[in-house]
Amino acid sequence: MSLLDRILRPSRTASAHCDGPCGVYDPASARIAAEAVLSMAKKLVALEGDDLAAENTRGRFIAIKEEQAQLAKQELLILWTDYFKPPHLEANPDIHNIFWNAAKLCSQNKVEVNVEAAQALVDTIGEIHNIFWASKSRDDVPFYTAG
Amino acid sequence: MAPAISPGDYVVVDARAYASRSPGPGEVVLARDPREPSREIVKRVAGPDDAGGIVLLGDNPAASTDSRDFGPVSPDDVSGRVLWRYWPAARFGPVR
Repeated sequence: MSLLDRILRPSRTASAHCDGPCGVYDPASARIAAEAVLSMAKKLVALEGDDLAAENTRGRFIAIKEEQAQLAKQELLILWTDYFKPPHLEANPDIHNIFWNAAKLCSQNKVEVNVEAAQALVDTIGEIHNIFWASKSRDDVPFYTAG
Repeated sequence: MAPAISPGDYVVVDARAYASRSPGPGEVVLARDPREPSREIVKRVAGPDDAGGIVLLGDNPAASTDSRDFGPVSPDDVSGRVLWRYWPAARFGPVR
């Protein structure tokens, strides 16, 4: 640090810019996508038949599973990289690990038809839901599933 | 708070500005971030709300997190008025 900078530098630092254009975050969007993945995995396991109609239905289920798992990953990354800040990490040192696992589960659900992995993704998003609302000092937002 | 203040500007804050009066509309203030009390932010006062809170808005509404997100702040959380920029020297002058 230069002498000039040492003389000039203010004693306190304030933030004059912001963290996002809207500030609206909610793990619910990731949860809904993950629930769609879980639903598709269950339907794929239960689907019988190999005629054209069944193949078509199977193809649609797979496409939706793929798309919703990607969407869940995207929504999780927005929370992880935009919403959560270093002070949150101090309160929850496990944040990086939880999000990394959640993103990995999104990938696994794309690669496989795996009801257990889909349920694990929903459960992990439930964990993120709790950390997220606790960070906003809100205890009035229960985690629920639509499916 | 662009364009009034840019990240990295050095400014002088009058910490006694609001000892005997409330922050007035248009004034640039230093305030505690209600979402993150350890952090201080610089915003412009829009005015008082009906309940006695102070509504703070950034100058760049499309990209500002302000009272539209976190609501009005308590007058106690407004810690001073930003008066003057002294660095960078090229933009030395009052903060309006």
